Amino acid sequence: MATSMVIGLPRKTLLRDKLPTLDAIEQAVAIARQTFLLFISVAEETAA
Amino acid sequence: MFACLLSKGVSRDDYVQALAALQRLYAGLENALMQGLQQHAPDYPYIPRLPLLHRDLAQLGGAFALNPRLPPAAITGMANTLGTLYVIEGSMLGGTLLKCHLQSKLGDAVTDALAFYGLNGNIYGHWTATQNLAT
Repeated sequence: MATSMVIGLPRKTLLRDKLPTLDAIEQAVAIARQTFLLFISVAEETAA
Repeated sequence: MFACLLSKGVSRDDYVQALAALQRLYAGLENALMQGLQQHAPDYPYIPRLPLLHRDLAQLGGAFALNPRLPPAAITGMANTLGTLYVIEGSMLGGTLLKCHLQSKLGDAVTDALAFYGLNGNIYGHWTATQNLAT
């Protein structure tokens, strides 16, 4: 549950058929985090 | 950088700079995302953002980026596709507010250069589609 809350998706959503395993959930969270950080880094580079 | 878009003193140059940064990001990310969607969610109504950014930048006379940022990882599975899409579509949720603010502060200078943040007037529809895809 804590993992799913990192990116704000409701637990019931993440645990359905699209992401049926903990590994799949963690993978989705990891790439969401990386994509978010990419946004941040581009913004910081531009502001620098 | 993006915070200044909502400031009272936002300038046309601020907006061009933000669009150029987004264009760099999408130039590296969007194609991979669209390939993931084609494979795992072919019916998802994704609207390519790069052409919208190009259109807005062209209207403002901004330069296109030559150094796109690479995606953080290959978008090859459903989990990667959903995770990336969640951030991409979620990042658009403030678009309506930004569009109104930019129109109000910059007026005619940006009227024809708000395609990206307007997203065909259906930002929340895309967010709903993202949520539906995940369920």
